[in-house]
Order: sequence, then C-alpha cells, then structure tokens
Amino acid sequence: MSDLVSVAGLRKVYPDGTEAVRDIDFGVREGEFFGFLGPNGAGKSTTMKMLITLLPPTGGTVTIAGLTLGRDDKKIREVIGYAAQDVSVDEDLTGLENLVLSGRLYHLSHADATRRARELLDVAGLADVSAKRAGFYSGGMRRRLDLAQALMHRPRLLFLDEPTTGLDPQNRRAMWDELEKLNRDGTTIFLTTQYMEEADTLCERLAIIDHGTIVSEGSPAALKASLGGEVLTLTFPTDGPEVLQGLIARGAAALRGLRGLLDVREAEREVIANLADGAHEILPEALRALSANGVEARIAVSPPTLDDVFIKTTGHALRHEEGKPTRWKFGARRRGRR
Amino acid sequence: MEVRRATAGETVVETARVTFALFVRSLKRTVRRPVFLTISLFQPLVWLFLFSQVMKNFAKASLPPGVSYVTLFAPAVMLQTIMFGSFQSGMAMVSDIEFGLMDKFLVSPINRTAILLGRTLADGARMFVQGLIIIVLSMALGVRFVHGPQGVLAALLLAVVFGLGLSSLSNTVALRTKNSETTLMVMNFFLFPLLFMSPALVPRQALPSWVVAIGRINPVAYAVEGARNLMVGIVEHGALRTSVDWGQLGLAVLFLLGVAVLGMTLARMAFRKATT
Repeated sequence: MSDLVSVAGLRKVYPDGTEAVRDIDFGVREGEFFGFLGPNGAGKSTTMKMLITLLPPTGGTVTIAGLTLGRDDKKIREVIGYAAQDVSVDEDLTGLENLVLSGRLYHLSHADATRRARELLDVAGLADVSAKRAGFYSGGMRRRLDLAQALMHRPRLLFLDEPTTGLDPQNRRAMWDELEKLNRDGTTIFLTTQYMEEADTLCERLAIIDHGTIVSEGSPAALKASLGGEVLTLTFPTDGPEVLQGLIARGAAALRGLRGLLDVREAEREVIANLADGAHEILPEALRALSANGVEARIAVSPPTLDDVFIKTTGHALRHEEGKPTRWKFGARRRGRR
Repeated sequence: MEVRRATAGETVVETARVTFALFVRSLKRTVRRPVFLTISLFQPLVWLFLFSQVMKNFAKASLPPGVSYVTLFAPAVMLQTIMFGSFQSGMAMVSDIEFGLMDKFLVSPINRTAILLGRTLADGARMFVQGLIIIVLSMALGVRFVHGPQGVLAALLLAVVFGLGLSSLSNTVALRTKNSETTLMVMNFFLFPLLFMSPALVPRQALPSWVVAIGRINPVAYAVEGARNLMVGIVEHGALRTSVDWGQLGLAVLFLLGVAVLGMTLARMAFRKATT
C-alpha cells in the first residue's frame, strides 16, 4: 500500500537563514495515527505548515493522497483538515455559526453545513451552548469547537498541531478518546506533540524530531525496545546546582565500569544508564560503588519511556519550556484576549 | 483517486457563495462589537450637536447669509464618520491573522479572492448604514437636501467609494505590519492633516489660499465638496448653488474612484505577498 503522505528531502530555511527543517523524509500510511514528537522549536509546526499548504518549502517533494504539494495545493486542501496549536475560533460568532462558516469554506450548502454542525456539536458536548458566542467558551470548549471545525468536511487526513497543549489533564484525556475514535473510524491522523505520554498513548508510529531533523522513527514500543532492557536512573536529593553537578559527575564515574550497565550518561539533573537484560543482580553492586565514592543518591529501575529514547537519541531531555513562537509569514500569535 | 474537475461556471458560483458567507460573517462581527455603535452613532452625535454649536458663531462670518453651519457641516460629518471608520477593516484583518482565522481560510479550498472581497463588501455595507444614520440625524436637525433623495443617495455612494479606498489602504498597512496599533496610527497620521486641510470643518472661503491650493490634490477636499454638491449645494459667489456643479462632481468622482482603485490594487498585492 502506498503512503497517504510521503515526504522526501523536505527543507525549510527562513529568510533570516534559520534552518527550521533540514532534509527530512517520512511517510504516513492511510488509516495510521502518526506523530511528530519533539520540543518547542524542533520544526514540528513548520513541517506541518508546509504540508498543509500554508508555508512554501525551501526544497523537497511532498505528495498527499497522490497530489503534489506546490502544484495541486487546492485539491490537497480539499482532502485535509487542520486544527492549529492555538485554537482559531471567531469569538464574535456562536459555536454553530463558527461551524457553519467552516462548512461553507468547504463548499457545503447552508443546509448541509447546519446539519453536520449540529451533529458535531452533539459529539463535542457543545449542543447546549451552540447559540452562545465562542468568546464565552472555556479553553476546553474552544478546543472541541476547533476540532469540530476541522471535521466539518469529513477530511480523509487530519493534521493536528499540539492538540492538547494548554488543556487540563481531564480535558486532555477526553480529547485523546475523541481522537482515537476518529482514527478507528478511518481518519488518518498526523499530530505533533511535545508530550511523551500523548505520543505513547495515541501514535501507532512516531518520528522524534529535534533541531529540524528526524532522529528516530518507529512505533513507541519498538523505539523503547531499541534501548535494550530497563533503565536505571540516579537522582540526587539536593538543589544546589554546583553540588548537583559534582554529584552527577561522581555518580556517573562510580557506575561506569560496572558490568551489566550500558551507556552511563550524565543528564541535566540525573544520571541514566541502560540495564543489560536481566542484570538486576548488579543493583547491590551499584549501591556499594556509590557509597564507596560518598555519593548519596536515589536509585530507580524502570522500563524505558519515550523520554529515555529522546535522551538517548538527542543527548538532551525533552522539556516543556516556553520556546520561541513558531515563525512563519503571519506569525499568528495570541494576544491573551479571552 | 477520482478528482472531478469543476466547470468554470460552478467555480464562479462557488466563489460567490463563499464570498457571501464571509461577507455575512464580517457584518455579524461588526454589529456585535460595541465600537460599531460608538463610531456610527455617538461620535456623529457629538460632532453634529456639540461641535456645530461651538463653530456656529465662529464660522458665521464666512457663511453666506441664511446658511447654517450645520447645513454645510452635515455632509462633512457623514464623510468623516466613514473615513475614520475605515480603519476598522484593517484592524479586523490583523485580528483575523492573530486569531488564526486567516489560516483557517487559507487552508480551505476556497478561491482566496473571496477573503478580501467578502471583507470589502461588508465594509461597504457598514459604511452605507453609517452614512444613512448621519443623514437621518441631519434631517432631524433641520438640514434640507436640495437635490432630493437621488442627490443624497449619490453622495452616500460617493462617500462609500472613497471609504472603500481608505479601508483597502488600511488593509494594505495591516497585511504589511500585522499590527493593529500601527494600522491605526498610519491611517490617522495621513487622514487628520488631510481633513484639516480640506473645507470639511471650515468653509472654503475661510481657508488660507495655500490650503485651498493643496485642496486640488487632497482627496478629502474632493469628497467633502462632492458630498455637499449633491446634498446641500456648494457655496458660490456668496450663496448656495441650487443646481449641481457637474464640473466639480466629475472631478470628485474621478479622483475618488482613483483612490479606490489604487487602494484595492495595493491591498490585493499586499494580500498576495502575505499569503504566498
């Protein structure tokens, strides 16, 4: 089966010379739940904006549903749906009006758009507030309305740019359920996220992206299995940065050279090592080595997470710091109006 | 995958439908915001009732006998309201960009012309209603329109044409700067001097001769005199003309159409640049 989305050598260099996306290749299969996992500024949104015809690529070829990006953009727009990182609802229109307008943009008749809008308002749990202006909606309601907008024309392929950023855990969980249901019903989904757990829960296959490059790709299970066995983590009960640095260095030194421990790494706040299969018996040995070196540390052994995969492949942890806003022509950014 | 090719006729009808949907959306947004009522009703009330009272005696010396200040001032208030309301268009454009609505339009398979066209039509409708409100208020103040409803309608259309030129210019600034404060500032920066160097607030006879000379290239002067021409009559030889001055009107129409065409062309160029 050929890919619904296939990307080869995609690049984006901004006019100021910043290389946001550097020569990436990947594919998304029909019916798949595919994800881009990476920190802010990794190139996730830039890649997505190129795929949805909003931002012209600097180089590379992209085909979506057999259509060529750059040549068949208008037809591509007909098969895709998109929900941006920041919700794009018109606060002066009611929930229903927002949806009907979206339907009109996809050439539905007014009657069809209204029917479909009512259907989606029910699903999104917004039927009661459908006649209220979206300006009065809560954050979670706006997200659901925004997703409903993207679904008005029943797109074959749905692009979601960080669909749960800013949602509380309960709303996030509900959004996941909704997305999983959509995917089960046959919609191919491509999402970007900076949340490990989200990628792990939702995606059948994901690409880890950092500094504009795909550093690894595969199913979450395969990515974690590629690390080998379990992961040993040392954490230190101190806050002083200099003390912490010293402890990390000494802790790592104590662990290096122990048989059964692979690839001892110093991270920003901890020491991480991979455990060879069935090497639990070295734990007492590790504790002895640490105390012999006068290092007081908490030691934990756990199955690998995507975080470990990320650290292993990029050399740094995935953190949710506030990054630079995504740059593109319009620089569409919220001004904190509620 | 089978892709059906739409015929040219279908495409035109489809674009018209989308344009209409975007037109309705812009109008809803306009009337649902309190700023609309402020600009369209309260400000003109202040100008017509308060400012004209303040200016009444002051301007008497340069007014023809029997002509009230408010008579000459009413067409100018109509124009001012439309002129200074024209920025709303550019500011709404910035807000659409900031709130991601522009992206939503751009990622849909519409003919992109509909985005600007829908907005422009909504601007025109808004300006028409704003002008109409002033006309009704002026009638309540006893202003007589010498050329009847046709004259008033023609003056209103002339003002709307000028207003659309200005709203297109505000969209141009908006698309280039993506900043609503800048949009407001740039437009104010140009419009206030043009307003003061026109016979809008002060009768032409009372203006210094160099200002009158500048008036030959000042679109606001053409618009004000054109609106007076069609509504209440132009002051000539110490009296109000009772017939339309076709020479003045012709020049005004040409000049203001020129501003509209220029504005729309620039807005279209800015839109293309911003979206490709």
